[in-house]
Amino acid sequence: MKYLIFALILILLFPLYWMIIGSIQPSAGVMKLPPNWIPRNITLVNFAYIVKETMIFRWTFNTIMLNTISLCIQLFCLVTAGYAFAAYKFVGKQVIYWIFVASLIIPWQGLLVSRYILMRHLYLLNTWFAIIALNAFAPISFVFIRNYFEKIPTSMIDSARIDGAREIRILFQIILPQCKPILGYLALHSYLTAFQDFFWPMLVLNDKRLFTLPLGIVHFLKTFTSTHGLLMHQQLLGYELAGGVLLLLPAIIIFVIFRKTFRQQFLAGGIKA
Amino acid sequence: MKTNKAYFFLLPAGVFFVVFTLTPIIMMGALSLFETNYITSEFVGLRNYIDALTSPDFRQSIVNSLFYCVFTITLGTFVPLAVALTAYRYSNAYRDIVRFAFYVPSLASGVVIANAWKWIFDCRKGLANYLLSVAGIEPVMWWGHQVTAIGIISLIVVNLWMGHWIILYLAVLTTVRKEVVDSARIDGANWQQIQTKILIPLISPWVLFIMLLEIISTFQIWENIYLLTSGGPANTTATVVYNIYETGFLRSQYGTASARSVILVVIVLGLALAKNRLEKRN
Amino acid sequence: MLKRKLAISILALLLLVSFAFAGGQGEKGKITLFVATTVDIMIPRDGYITQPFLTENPNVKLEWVPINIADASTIGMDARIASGLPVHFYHDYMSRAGKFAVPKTEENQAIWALDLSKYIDDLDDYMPGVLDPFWKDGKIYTIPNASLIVGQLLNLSVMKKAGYKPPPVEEWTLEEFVKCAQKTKAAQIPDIYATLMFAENRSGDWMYMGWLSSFGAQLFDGGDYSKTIIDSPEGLKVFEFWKALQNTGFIPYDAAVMNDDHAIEYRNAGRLAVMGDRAADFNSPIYQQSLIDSGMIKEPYQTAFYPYPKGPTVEKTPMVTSYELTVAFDVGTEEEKAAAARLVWHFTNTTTQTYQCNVLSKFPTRKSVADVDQAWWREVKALLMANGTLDVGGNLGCYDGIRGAMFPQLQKLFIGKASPAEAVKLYAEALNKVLDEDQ
Repeated sequence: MKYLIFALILILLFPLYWMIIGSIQPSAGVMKLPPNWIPRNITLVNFAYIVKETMIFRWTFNTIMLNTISLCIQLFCLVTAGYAFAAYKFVGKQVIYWIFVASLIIPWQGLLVSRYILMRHLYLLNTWFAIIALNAFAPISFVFIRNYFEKIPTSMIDSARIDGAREIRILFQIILPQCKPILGYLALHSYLTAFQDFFWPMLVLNDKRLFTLPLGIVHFLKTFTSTHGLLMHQQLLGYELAGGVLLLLPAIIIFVIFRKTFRQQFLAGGIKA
Repeated sequence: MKTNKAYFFLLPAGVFFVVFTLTPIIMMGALSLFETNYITSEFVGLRNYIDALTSPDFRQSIVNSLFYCVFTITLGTFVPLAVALTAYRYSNAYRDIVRFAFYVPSLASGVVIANAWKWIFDCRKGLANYLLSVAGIEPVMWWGHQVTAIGIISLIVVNLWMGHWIILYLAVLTTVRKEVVDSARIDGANWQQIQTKILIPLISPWVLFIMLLEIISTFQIWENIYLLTSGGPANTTATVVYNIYETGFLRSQYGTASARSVILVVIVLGLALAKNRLEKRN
Repeated sequence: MLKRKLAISILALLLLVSFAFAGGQGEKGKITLFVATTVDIMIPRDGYITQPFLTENPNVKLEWVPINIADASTIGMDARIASGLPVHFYHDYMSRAGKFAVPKTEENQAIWALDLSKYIDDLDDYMPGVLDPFWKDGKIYTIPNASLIVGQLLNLSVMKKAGYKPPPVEEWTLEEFVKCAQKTKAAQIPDIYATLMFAENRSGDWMYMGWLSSFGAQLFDGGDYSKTIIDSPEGLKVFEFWKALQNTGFIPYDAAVMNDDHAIEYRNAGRLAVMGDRAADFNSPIYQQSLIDSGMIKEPYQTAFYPYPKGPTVEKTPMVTSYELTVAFDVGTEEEKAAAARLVWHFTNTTTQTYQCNVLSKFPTRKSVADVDQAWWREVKALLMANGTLDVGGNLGCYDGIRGAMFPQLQKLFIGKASPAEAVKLYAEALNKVLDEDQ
């Protein structure tokens, strides 16, 4: 079984291997079918070109900054909403929950233009807040951790209330520390996926200095042919793969640094009292 | 008094949700009653809905989506579970490798991954047909048949989700106290029994929950179809969302797109509720 | 207590910072034009268009809106128009810009393109026939430029290896093509094909639509866009021919799942004897060297550009042409409109087109682009004058839908789900549906 899994891993990691060896060869080593298993003509010229021609460092900084701000607001909203669901009975609890679920089903493509119109009227176009606002409350994260919050025994909360503690204090001093593992997980996950989302930023951001990394790279690749002419088209594949590697790199670094977060028991069977 | 406080806590999330998600949803619903490309608009009432339900392409996409559902749930339930249960038996280092290896593909750019898989299943030069030829089997036009094309795309999609699920399953499994497992061993249970009696029941609520998310997500598969098959041999690999993209966005018919999105919500909600009922019965 | 205050103040600070990261505001005394193009005009190297414009109009600031870069839809433009923020100037491929440049109805049109004949006075410098499809009731709403002319690219080196000598351009007939294909196939050079067809997506259809001309088939009856006339004996012959290409092995058998990327790759790597493609200077030493440098080929190859071969029933084969369109919109103040129209002129004037021809291998639309050291395009121009253009509906707002109608039927043809007769009927049906919706 163990070895079967290794075999599976090899197959699933193959596309990444292809991407990496392709990015360090000049373009056609990539196009060859079947590809060179061992790269020839190893060169970093693809990366050098991208670094020279684009603002990738600024974009990487942008992505991390944007995501940090997003994350703070997101965690705040999730924890307060989760507490509301865990500590109270109130009218419409089930309905609200199902509205959240329904909102997951609607494809983001359908809401794209409506959101854009909204942002325009709120004067949020071409700002980061347009992106932050959409990530601020993600129904999927909420649906996910609602289970977690529900397992908090209400007795704990009730006894704290009887002791006369204020609600906010209960939230911050009793519940929050218990949630650290799962919040850590959500935080990590949000950083890792921040390096993929580009469609909405593409729509709302005009200024290149504000771009996130995935948007910047997609934009560079797509305007390349129009800017450099048709005859240079074959260089594009090398840049695509190099761009892919550059997108993956920060995510891998973050993953490796924070891998202990994944080891934690962030999905409790119960909470240690 | 208690009730008021609850709404107070719901406020931050509520504000963001209502303004940035609910309002666009309502706008979209209103839009579905028009035919518009934002340059000219015309009120058409329910015509978009009737067109959608009678359109062979849309109906085909619903059928396709159900295919995807079956494939992804089969692959997406058993494989991650098997991997997590196996990884559970080994050390932290092994688990780390497993988590990393399965999770990393989901961090990479979808375009690059799609291109790689496209080559693997290329007719004349792809790895898959090469392996088949070594085994003496005729080459298959993988992207030319509905079943194989949907199968491959399901594979890619499950590949992307799997890392996440494995991390979740492992996280649940590690909450089992070591003593419980050890005492079961001492009592003479073998690995099979430990799995079925202790571990699987522990994970099953999460498995069911993830199945719900999978159902919702399969109808929304878009990027891989766009990159790999453009809806597939004669429109047989298009999901509902891909169909919405094709009819609504490529042709700038936003009323149609909105109506179809609403129909999508109805269908998937129906499936989700049905699934809930089934679970309650068991 | 302190911790909480700290947390809240950090949060507030971050929120403030997020608002600070906003785009620049307009400068005083200048008018700002929102410019949407597929080219990144903000790169200094590409200032060959914008620099002269800005020198001429120092009171104008260009704000570039990157749109429609991720996929084939016009979502970026649509979103801007929907939110009441239209751009002043738009430049894009025909299938996308056409949606906005061709007005549909008299009333209820939220955004109009400017009538450029009021602002530009050298419209007679354009090659005959180029502007004709875009005039409507004495008004012209868009100027095409940077066209691509599609014909067949003959790879003379491959033909030499196969032992086939192509005739002079006037005698390039279907019979000759078949001879060439047979010899190529018989030579059995690994991974070399006579030509390529592909049906996986809508992109690149211009590479094979030229075959319609070989059989005298037409999509439309002389400007009548209410229905298609492809469902005719000539149309049937085209589909039968395509199927025959697959059956005889002149094209790879998996044509149904190949796309334009494959076509470009095969063509670049010199693996096709003949391929429908745009006219460009493929023989230039720079281009050939770049192919060798990137390892695609070992030695340079020679090409020739011919129109599509003449079938037995036709005297000439009209060529497919496709343009990039520039549109100025009727929004904003009179100053802004005039500036936008001026920008249209800069995007399409002789200097720009000369640069694009020399450096980017795009075919010009102006007669006065003569000071070009490219002999190849003079030959192409002569071919275009002799053969005329094939009307594929490029000037229609629904052109993108028209393109999308072909590939599913072609796919069915190549995987055997439809016979040529059925495929051509399905194609006509799909086309008519698109045309109906557009009325």
